[in-house]
Amino acid sequence: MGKRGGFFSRRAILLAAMWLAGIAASGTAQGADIAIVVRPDVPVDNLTFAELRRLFLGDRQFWTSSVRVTLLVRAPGAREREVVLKTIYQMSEAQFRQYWIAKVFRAEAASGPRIVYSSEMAAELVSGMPGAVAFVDADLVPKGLKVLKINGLLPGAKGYPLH
Amino acid sequence: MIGKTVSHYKILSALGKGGMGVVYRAEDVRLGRTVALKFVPETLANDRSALERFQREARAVSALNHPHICTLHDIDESDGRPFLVMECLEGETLKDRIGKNLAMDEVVDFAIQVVDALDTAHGRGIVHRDIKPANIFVTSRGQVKMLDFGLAKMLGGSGGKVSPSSQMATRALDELITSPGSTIGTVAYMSPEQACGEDLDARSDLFSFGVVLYEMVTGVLPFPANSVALTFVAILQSTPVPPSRIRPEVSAELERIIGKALEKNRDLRYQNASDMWADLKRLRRDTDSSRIASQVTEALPAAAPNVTERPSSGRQSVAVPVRDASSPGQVAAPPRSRRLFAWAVVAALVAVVGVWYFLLREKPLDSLAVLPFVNVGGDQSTEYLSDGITESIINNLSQLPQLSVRSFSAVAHFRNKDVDPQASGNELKVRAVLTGRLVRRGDEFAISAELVDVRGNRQIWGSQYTRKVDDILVIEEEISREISEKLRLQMTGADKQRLNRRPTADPVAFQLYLQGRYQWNKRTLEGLQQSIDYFQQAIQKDSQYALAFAGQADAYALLADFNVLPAREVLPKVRAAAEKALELDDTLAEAHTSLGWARFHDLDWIGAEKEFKRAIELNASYPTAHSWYGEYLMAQGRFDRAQEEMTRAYQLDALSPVLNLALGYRFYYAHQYEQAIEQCQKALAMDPNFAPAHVYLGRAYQQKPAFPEAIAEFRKALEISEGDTNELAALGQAYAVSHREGEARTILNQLKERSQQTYVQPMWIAVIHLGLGEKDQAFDWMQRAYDDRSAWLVYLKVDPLFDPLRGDARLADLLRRVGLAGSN
Repeated sequence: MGKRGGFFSRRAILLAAMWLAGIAASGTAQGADIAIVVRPDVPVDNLTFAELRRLFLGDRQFWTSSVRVTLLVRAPGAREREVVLKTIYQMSEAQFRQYWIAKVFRAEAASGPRIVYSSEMAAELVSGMPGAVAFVDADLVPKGLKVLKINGLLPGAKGYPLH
Repeated sequence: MIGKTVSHYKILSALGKGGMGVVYRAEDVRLGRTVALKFVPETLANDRSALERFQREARAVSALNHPHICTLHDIDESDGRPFLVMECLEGETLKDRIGKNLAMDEVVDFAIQVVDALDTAHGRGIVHRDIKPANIFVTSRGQVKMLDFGLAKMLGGSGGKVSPSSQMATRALDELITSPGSTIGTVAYMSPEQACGEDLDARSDLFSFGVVLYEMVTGVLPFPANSVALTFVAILQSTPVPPSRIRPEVSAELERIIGKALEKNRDLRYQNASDMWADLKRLRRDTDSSRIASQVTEALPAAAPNVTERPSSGRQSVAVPVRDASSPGQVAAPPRSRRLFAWAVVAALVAVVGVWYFLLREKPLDSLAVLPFVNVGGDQSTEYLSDGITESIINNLSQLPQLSVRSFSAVAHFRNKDVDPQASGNELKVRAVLTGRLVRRGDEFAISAELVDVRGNRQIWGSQYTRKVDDILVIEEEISREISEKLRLQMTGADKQRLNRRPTADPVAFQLYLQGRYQWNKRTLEGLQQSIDYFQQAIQKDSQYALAFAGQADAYALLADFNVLPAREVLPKVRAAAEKALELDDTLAEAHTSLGWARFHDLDWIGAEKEFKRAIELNASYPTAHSWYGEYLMAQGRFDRAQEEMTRAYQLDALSPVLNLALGYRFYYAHQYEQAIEQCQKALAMDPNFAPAHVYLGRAYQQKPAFPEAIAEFRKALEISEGDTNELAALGQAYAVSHREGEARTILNQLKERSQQTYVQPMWIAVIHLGLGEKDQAFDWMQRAYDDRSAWLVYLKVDPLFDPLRGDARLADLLRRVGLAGSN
């Protein structure tokens, strides 16, 4: 009790700065769908929404027996993150952090998601890391990456769940 | 040269011309400080082997860290010509001061400082060999600085002597004798062995300083002569005129000290500088005591008609009963009343001198603040290091029982500010302040540190270090050790052992630990997560690193405090990490504190108190130990003792919102809501976004009751914490007790939903049910809290939220199981 110190003001400033940086970096259009992107060699093209949740909650950790899933998550403040927290995780920011700390503490995951600070950075890492998966603004999907269907739907389709 | 920039030094003006050439005042544009540049003579610059030797010596000199030795910051080069970068001083040389008839007090004071500097240099095997007034500088603040250890040389390991054949001193001597430009003035300060070209050691410096001291006192040289040759003869054969003949006020003791320093046979001379230093210190003490006694006597002329002054050893006077002039050789037997009166006066004098001695003698500086080292250049990648060094020094020095050291969080707000040491020292209520700067240059760090006596705004010690990243550990140790020496702390063997204890031999592990602490101190969930990673990595690097295990225990403990996980899950890991730390080092206060926390929440009340007490015994300056012990006492309803411990923690770190708030929630649990509101508001004045303070303020309002104010505070906390479960639950509970059942049930459902994915403290759900009047459900959730060893369980006895259940047998049973039934 009582040890949760005076860091909130700094955090608020940081979040505000990151939010602004996120807007500037991504140029995300408000309301655009969010695409789930992987390298073309990932042997999956479609996920159900439940499978997507399992993936992002760290419950599914391998694409195949030899290819480990690496989650890339945008830093706080990005609209993509807000959408993913709201739709996939269904958690508040604080809950999301709590969730991953507990997961690692219990050794249910080797580590939490890796943080990326822009769509470009996400794309670059997905291209370079086998098994990496990220979410980016559907209008800004880089060439050379595969967009996964969710419930058989691609971003922009009616009923696509991530927006 | 003026206006030019060499390397990263902009030359501002010429300071003067010395034996080595022109000395310039310059600005170090990287660090923004003023320095003095000395360019080596071209003859030396062109002699490769001499230059290498010179550079080696310079490196040795740069290792000297002493307030009375002019600091050599660096050796650099411009157009192939090396130059020294030195501390820039303002004042005048002793040579200039001697001509102004020095007061005896000043003589002794300057002498003590010089000998102190020599003691340090000699202790490092460095002999100056050119002690003379021109090489002793007196700053405008009256501080002595030894200049030009340029001829000094590290002595070899065997016997501490050097052969003159290989020495620059001899070369210099030859030059002096043969050079037409040489002056008698330089030769006049040489020791007999130097004049004879014999091996030199530290005693040679003491002879030379004896000559300087003689000159300071009398204004003339002890071995005056008209030529170099005759000066040598005088040094080897003549006995100087006693100083008191030239200046009658010279005390016998000072005359003895000078005489001993000027012994021609070095075996009869002072054998080391520390002996001479002790004699000078005693002389100053006795002189001051006599003066006080004299002043008291003068102040009491009518009261002491038979007490007069008699010259003691020199000019100082002491009060003694006067001999009766009518009875030569006999002490007159005074009448009883006069005898009693004289005794009374003597007793009064003794008392006055005693009080004076107690108040004015050099007391150790017993409190210290280490301000955050400035990360020059603001390189984010090294910020952890500047904070880490600061914290390590604080931790090291906190081990010393005689020294009260302000905690890191107490000083953290000075980070990266241009701070006046005196002002910050006064603010933090300490006697001394340590400041420091850190600059990264490639894979090296340049670190400077300065210790300042707050009362006189006087530098006690200053030092510069340039080290590889891997040597950071050594610097932190060196600084701690030197500070403890400079603060004149009387250390026991155990203290020294603690101070010299190296937490790890692996510099990478140490850096990981520093990063872990840095993140832990942020007190954010992200920081907490990273700190766990760093501590784990540090442990992987060095499996014997006790402090890293203690850090890991602390990080795990916060997981339960934050309600990230149930304490039931966290406790075994906290306990294991703390016990491992203690297995490696059972004198680690941090580890005892962590273990105390684990036992407290594991409901082992006796074991917890034992650990907290042991932590405080080991390090009374560790605020967390006092704070957590205070919480332990508070949980048992021992509010007065809790207040003592929490106040002590607050005193150690008055600027911490956490410790300010701790005093606030102590009032809350003691059902003193007005005081709780006032204290929470104080914490919020320090940090308006401190969510827990909003929560406790809300709780205090709720108990008054003032529901709208309470709900406003809980909403604010929820917003600041970005939807934290703890704050959400507090809001739900407020709705429940303020008859806003719909909103309360909505939150209750949200909490139950959240509990499917993340941990929700069962106590929070229990108190909402309780607020809604659903006691049975409340008890169900309280049982779950008990099963979880919920971190809140320990406050069951004192938390006003459970007051509606007082008198219920189920609560009594739970209190009994928690171990709180009989406590008071």
